[in-house]
Amino acid sequence: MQRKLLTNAVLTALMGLFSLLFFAPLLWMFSAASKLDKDVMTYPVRWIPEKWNLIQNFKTVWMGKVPFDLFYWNSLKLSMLMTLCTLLFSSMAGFSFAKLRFPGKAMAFAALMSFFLIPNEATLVPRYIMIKWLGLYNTHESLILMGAFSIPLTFLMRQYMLGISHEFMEAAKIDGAGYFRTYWQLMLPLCKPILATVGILKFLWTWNDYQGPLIFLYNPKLFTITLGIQSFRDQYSDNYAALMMASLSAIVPLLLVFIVLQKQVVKGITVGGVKG
Amino acid sequence: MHTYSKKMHTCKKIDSLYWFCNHLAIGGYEMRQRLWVMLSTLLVFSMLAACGNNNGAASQSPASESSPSEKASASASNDSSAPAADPVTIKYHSWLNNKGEEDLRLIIANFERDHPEIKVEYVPLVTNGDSTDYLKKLDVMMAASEEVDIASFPNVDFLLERAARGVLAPLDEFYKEEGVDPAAEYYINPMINGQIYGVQDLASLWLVALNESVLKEAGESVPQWGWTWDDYRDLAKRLTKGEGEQKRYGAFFHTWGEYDNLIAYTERPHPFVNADKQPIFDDPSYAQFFNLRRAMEQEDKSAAPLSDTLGAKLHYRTEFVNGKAAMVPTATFFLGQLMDRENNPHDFKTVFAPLPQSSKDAETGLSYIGGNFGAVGSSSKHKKESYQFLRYLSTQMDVIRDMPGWKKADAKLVIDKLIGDNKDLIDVDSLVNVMYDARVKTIYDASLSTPTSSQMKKVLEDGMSKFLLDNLSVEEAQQYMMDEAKKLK
Repeated sequence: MQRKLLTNAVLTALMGLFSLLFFAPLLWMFSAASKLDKDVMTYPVRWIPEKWNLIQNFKTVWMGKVPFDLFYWNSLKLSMLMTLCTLLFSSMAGFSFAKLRFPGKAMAFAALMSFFLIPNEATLVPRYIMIKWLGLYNTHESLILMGAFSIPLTFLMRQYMLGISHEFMEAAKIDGAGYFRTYWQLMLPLCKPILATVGILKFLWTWNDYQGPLIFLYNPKLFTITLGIQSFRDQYSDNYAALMMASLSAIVPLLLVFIVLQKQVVKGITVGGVKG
Repeated sequence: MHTYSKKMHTCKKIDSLYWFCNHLAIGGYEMRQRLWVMLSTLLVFSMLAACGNNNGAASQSPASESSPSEKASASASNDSSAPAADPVTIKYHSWLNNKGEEDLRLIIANFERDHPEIKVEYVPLVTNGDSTDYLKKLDVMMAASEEVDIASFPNVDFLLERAARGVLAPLDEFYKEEGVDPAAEYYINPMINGQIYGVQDLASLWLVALNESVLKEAGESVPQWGWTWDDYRDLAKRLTKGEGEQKRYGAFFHTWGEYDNLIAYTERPHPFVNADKQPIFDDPSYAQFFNLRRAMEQEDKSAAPLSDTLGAKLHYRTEFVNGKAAMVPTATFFLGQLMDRENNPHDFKTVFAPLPQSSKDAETGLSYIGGNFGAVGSSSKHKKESYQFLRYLSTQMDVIRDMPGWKKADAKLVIDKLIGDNKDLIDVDSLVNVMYDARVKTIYDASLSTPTSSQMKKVLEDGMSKFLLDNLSVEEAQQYMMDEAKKLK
């Protein structure tokens, strides 16, 4: 008993140490965002600012010359729309690959997976040409169109749905449900944990995407937060305090999304574990 | 008739959809109905979208507003049918913003006044002033065969990399037509396979900036032409003062590759390769400069250690302006930053010395000149007009942004315009002495520059980091760099 206690204590201490290690950059970011710019890079690191400048930095970021609120809104809008689209399309695709039988299914899935191997950068130029041809260059629609579907996330959805017993499908069929109803009313509720995971991942990727907005947007009014943060670099010649305040503001939605959806993920794991 | 056939076509499409849904044997009757409705709605939507696109392309136009190349091709097609009086529009792509953009727009206005037949449109590909992001975007545009009239480059290597890819046009025939000898016009002519691909609009002559107050306090005079890196080391030692947080270093070396061997940059035709384009990291100048860096950092403690520079992200500008470093090797682009009183406030005057030479026997006057270049895209329909603008941009004297790349520029006029009423911050005499000494010349041979030059610079930076941070011997560091450079082939 005592030995178990000791092991637990050691493990907890180790975990605590690790979490502190991972938490340190965030702490540094908060500390830097509260400092005067000239104090940010002092060495050795002073974690508690000598002179607090949090409010001033907040004002510089949110009420200064840079339309940070607009960048924020653009990012929110794009991330939410792209996450919703991906949830819908990837789950539909995942459902059909996992549960439906149609000619050429295996081929189609193999083709999809092989596209996954092509790095994003390699398709940049063709995508640019296509978006120009569609007349969507410099619009949010171009980014939404390109980000409305995700191959790895479709793969995730399919794998999860494969794990759901086929008897559910048969039961639904006997009760007279068509494929769409089976998908919408049966499959989706059963897939909440994976939907949450996919939602978190997609939101994170979109929110942090730099290359897409850089290449496909031109008008500063359409810029997302990743491009917008760069404005502090130039205008205030590497104003690290403002940069960190902007980054701090930028991680708030990510944290919220994670906190809200994480419960679903954990719930899914425990449910699966009990029944598995 | 046309509309009728289009309608028939649509009907056929919808019919076949219905057939498709019925014969696919999926779902029950209700499901098939729903699928049919969904698919036909999708079809109607896609048709509507396509129509909208055709009708609205001209007026709707986020693309026409934002993507200037379409306007160019439009104007080009106008040109062929319209009388010659219609001005041609060329596009100048760059990363400039704020002050840089203001200056450029002024130059463009002057040019358009003198050349009513040419309109120049400035296309800032990025708004954050970051040339790396700019180049990324430019590469995508060029790879997509989009029309680029003029592209600006912050460095000769970046330009030559693109020239090697065939996206830039050679300018020799235009020079010939104009009857000028580019070698007599510009400090650097970017050249591949004997053809010139760019016009140098700005030159950045490397020099040493010194804090005059510190110099006076130490009773030192401004170093003159002919001083050596050993003299530099001695002076740095004498200018170093204090300890701990109050310490003022005599010198500062930034993280850029230039600071890892300025001798190679000034006294070799190319800092990284020889005439056969083989890497020269085993050149004795590397050993000399690497040892100098280690001695100043570790023995004399007269220069900030590289670990601090990297760890605390020290920058030569802030170190110099805040009085933390008494002298820094830099280039004429530093002048603009020194005169920016708002962002870099300081209360001392800066004096200038030429870059030191490797030894007393080396040739005095050899300099390292960087610069800014303009190149004409091979996809441009208006190459001649683009060339004309580049020539104007490089030789005009109305707006002085930095030292011009044009050798024949009027030195006095350049200095007057460059410094303006900032004589309390910049010592004009020493600056003129460095910039316009009759001996100033560069033996840099742009034809040796290879598409891998910018990667070689990274090898050099890594080599210096290994040498100073991992305490490698000079031989080991040189071997490491040679090995890495050979891998680049």
